[in-house]
Amino acid sequence: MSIIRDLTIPMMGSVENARLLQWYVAEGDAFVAGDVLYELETDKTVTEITAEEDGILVRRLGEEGADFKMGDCVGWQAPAGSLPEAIQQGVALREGNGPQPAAAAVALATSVTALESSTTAATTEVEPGEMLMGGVMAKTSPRSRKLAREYGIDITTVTATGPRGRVTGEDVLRVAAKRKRLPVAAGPEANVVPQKAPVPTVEPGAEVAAAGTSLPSPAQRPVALTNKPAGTRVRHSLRRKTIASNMVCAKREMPHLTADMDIDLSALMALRKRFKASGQQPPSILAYFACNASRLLQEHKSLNATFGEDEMVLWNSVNLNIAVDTDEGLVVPVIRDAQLLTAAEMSTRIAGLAEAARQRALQPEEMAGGTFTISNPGALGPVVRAEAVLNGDQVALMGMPGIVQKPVAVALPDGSYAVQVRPILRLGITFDHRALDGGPVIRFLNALKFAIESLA
Amino acid sequence: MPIDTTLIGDMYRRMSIARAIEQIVEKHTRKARISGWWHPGEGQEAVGVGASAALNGEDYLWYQGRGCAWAIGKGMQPGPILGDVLGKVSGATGGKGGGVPHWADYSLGIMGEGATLGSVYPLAAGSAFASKLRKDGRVSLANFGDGTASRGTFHETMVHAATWKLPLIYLCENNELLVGTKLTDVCPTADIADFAKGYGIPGIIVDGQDAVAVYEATLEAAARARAGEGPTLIEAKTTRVQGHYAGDPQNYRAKDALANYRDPLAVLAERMAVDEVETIAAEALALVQAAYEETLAAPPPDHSIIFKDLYYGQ
Amino acid sequence: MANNDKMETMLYNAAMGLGLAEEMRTNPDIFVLGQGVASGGWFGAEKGLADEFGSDRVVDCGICEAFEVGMAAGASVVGMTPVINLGFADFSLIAGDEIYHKLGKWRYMHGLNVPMSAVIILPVGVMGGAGPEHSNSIEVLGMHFPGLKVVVPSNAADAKGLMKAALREPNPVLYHSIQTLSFTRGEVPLDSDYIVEIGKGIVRRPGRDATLLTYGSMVNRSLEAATTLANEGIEVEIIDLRSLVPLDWELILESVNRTHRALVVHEANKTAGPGAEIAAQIQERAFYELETPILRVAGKDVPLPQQNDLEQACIPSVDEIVAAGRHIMSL
Repeated sequence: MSIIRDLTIPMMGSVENARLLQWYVAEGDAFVAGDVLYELETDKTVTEITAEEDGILVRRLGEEGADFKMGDCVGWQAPAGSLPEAIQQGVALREGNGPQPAAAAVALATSVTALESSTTAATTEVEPGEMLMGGVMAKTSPRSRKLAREYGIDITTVTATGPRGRVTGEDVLRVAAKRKRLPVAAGPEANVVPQKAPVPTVEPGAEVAAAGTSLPSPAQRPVALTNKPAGTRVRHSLRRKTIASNMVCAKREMPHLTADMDIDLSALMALRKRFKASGQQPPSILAYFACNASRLLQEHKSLNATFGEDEMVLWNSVNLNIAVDTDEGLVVPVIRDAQLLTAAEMSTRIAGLAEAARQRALQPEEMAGGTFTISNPGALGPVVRAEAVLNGDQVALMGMPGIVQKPVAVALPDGSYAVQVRPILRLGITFDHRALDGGPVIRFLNALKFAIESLA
Repeated sequence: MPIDTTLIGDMYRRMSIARAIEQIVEKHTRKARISGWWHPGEGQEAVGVGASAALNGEDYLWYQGRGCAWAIGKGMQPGPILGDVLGKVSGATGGKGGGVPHWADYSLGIMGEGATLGSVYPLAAGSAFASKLRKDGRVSLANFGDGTASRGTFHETMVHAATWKLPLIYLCENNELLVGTKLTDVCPTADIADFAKGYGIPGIIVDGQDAVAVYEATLEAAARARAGEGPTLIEAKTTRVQGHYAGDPQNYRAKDALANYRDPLAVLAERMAVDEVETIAAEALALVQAAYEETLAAPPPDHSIIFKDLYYGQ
Repeated sequence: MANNDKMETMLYNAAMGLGLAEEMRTNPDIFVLGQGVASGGWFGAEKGLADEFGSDRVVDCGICEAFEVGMAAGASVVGMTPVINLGFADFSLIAGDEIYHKLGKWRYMHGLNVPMSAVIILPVGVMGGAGPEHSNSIEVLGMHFPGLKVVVPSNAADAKGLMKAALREPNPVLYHSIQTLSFTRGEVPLDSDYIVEIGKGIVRRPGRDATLLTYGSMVNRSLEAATTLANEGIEVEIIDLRSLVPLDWELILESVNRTHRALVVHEANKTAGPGAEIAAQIQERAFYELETPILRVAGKDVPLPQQNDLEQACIPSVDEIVAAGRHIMSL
């Protein structure tokens, strides 16, 4: 029996496919339960896979960037504390060119004995440090691993200068200093704003859209060629970093919160009725929300943003993801420069993308580069709350549950109130509390409520 | 000097309250769980109430495991006691505990209990030493059971208290049982008061079922202490009616163990008018019943008190 | 009152006594109890106290530790500030109930938030042939049982400053003087308000390569070791913890986050000693700042032999600390 065991991709519910993005543990490194082993991208999310038990990474079978099915083996691991000889023998056995089983067992027994005797020694009299690592000297340190993660550096590529070939934190910092990181959102329109100056710039096109007056025809509009639209970068303040790290510690997962607000759709319904009365097909309710939300995101830039390890990018234009339910699960195609579209255009675009999604005809670029997401579970049934998991590194998501006829207190001209039954939609904004506090979210919801309820 | 009838009525009232608490807690533990244990003192109420009546308000009382009658005798109300027993915020300790018991009220001179039984001897000497230094005229009373008279600190403390003539009273409640062991199986003398000889202090034996006798002996010991004449050892012979703890099956005890039991309430009632006895008993019962109901309605302590009082100001 | 910046060279124990005497002059609630304290104390800490404050406040008692500490607990509950010198920390085990249950828990279990001032002097460590029952370093017990504060002065000035802080502290303090330092001399501020704050450590020697956390008898040995290591190019930062309860985590973490290596050095037994707790907490709080495992250099897990050479062989030497310093830089 080999001591080598498979390191397999854990099953995650309905997820089938995954891409291995980055390894965090080098071959030969010991890890403990809870350490991040590698980062995985699925069609739903990007997630860090942590070790379930202590061990040593013997071999990486999966290359970074390679695609796998869930449950696939991506590496070999050995039990924590295994001696190098035992690991070598285990590897040989797995590769089918090792010694005969009997010989291997003897060899293994010998090394186990050696380990046990060294453990015994540790409890009696040893030089400080000799009892460490169960005989396997780690080639990295906790600090160097953390720094590598922070700077997005593959630690196995770092030249080690530490004792016994160890990659130290200083080694990682040296690489980081050399490798001035390319801006995430390169492009002429990305404005890098120094710390404490989160002042987004507004482009001419955006101003026009925000004003909501004569829109240029689609042909005249600037077309975003890059996957990511232009935007404003705001370096994290120390406070934001602290809040972010506290939030992560507090919940271990991304701290999602959802703020809900009831929106009265009477005005919207009346407007759609007028379209129908004149024989026209009105834009969908979703389209009205998408159109108004996109326009308002121009002013509420902190919700049209992505959150990274070191910085947050506030995007100038809105690349709107619309979650579409298909037979194969959820897909989220993107509508670029959504802030420029009218409700009618929006309605057509959404319908087109939804159809393409159902036909599996979406191109990869039609799903990438989103800055804000709308999820519309209300279209499927009268759910009362629409909270969803955030999309990638986006900081906010708008959820639209079903429309419910509800008694509400309506102000009468004389200052008194009367109870009336109104069509109510409880709109929810799920947001990443690391990036956003409640204030901007509520302000956005207020603005959207006002916009929808004032439609005429 | 004949004892004041008002004082007798007051002692009867306090003993009745203590008895009512004993019975209501006993009843409660039969139908509901309490956190911790209740150590019943039924039958011994005359000792705590009689001795406390002889102390001044500011005198220091360090009581023992069956301390209910002592606390009531020294002025505590039933509410805080029941609050701790039932683990409610209304308890004297805020609900941390009270069946052992650990209730205290320093404004009443009720200093608390050490649940490592018999551990209050040196603590009482500490407050007595403070009084001697400050010349504040206060007396400290260490209450204990016969079972802990064999502790080392009994001796250590008395050696020093007698030498330094500390204003200290040792008051033993001898119910002849150490949890479930007979005193005479583990002690060379049946009378704890005999130990006093070795320290050169008075060793007094009183009838622990008679509150007046306990009161008078304690009053005299307190007067000696205040006069700078040092400690006194009082041994009150008494009877533990219930088990060591509420629910104790008492297999170690003879069936007729209580054949000669005299109820301290009945003993004191002989000195009182019948209607007075009945009125006081009814009032006491009503007071405790009301406190019990209030306690049941009180909330349990919040977890935020877990670190409270660990350090001063915390 | 203050004598400003004047310093005087004096014995460690005399400095402890000076702190005590200064506080007794202003606080009539302080009294001293112990074996031989009325005649100046076994080790000179209480020299002259009985003459100045009288035998009412400086009181001899029999050989009965439980009584002494129990009495301190009772007196502190009623507002006194007792000072008990048990002579040897080993004897505190006889007063375990009184220290850890009564002093440590009385306020908590009775739910009354009143000050409880008491200073229990528990000298720790070897003093040259005192044997297995007079040489222990058991300061970890005060860390394990809640409700107490624990100080460990490593020099004469701290002996005074921590004694004064302990006497002004509204919580019971276990004051672990260091036997081997009792008759060493040091500069002591004469300022009658010279206080060493409880819970604050101090950097005795700055360094960039590793953080060495120590206290009491091992501070001087660690400083000596640091000099040797500096000659080899290894700059060890020496932190004298001064208090074990509470520990100065701000100082410890600031240093470890800078040097990325930590060692703990103490005379107390290694197994479940203070270093075990300190190392555990460092890795809990700063694992990802560490380049290497945390090392401990500590007393051997044996009763301390009486014979002098054997005794010294059981506690960390300067050479062992130097070796640990080299070792951590090689990991």
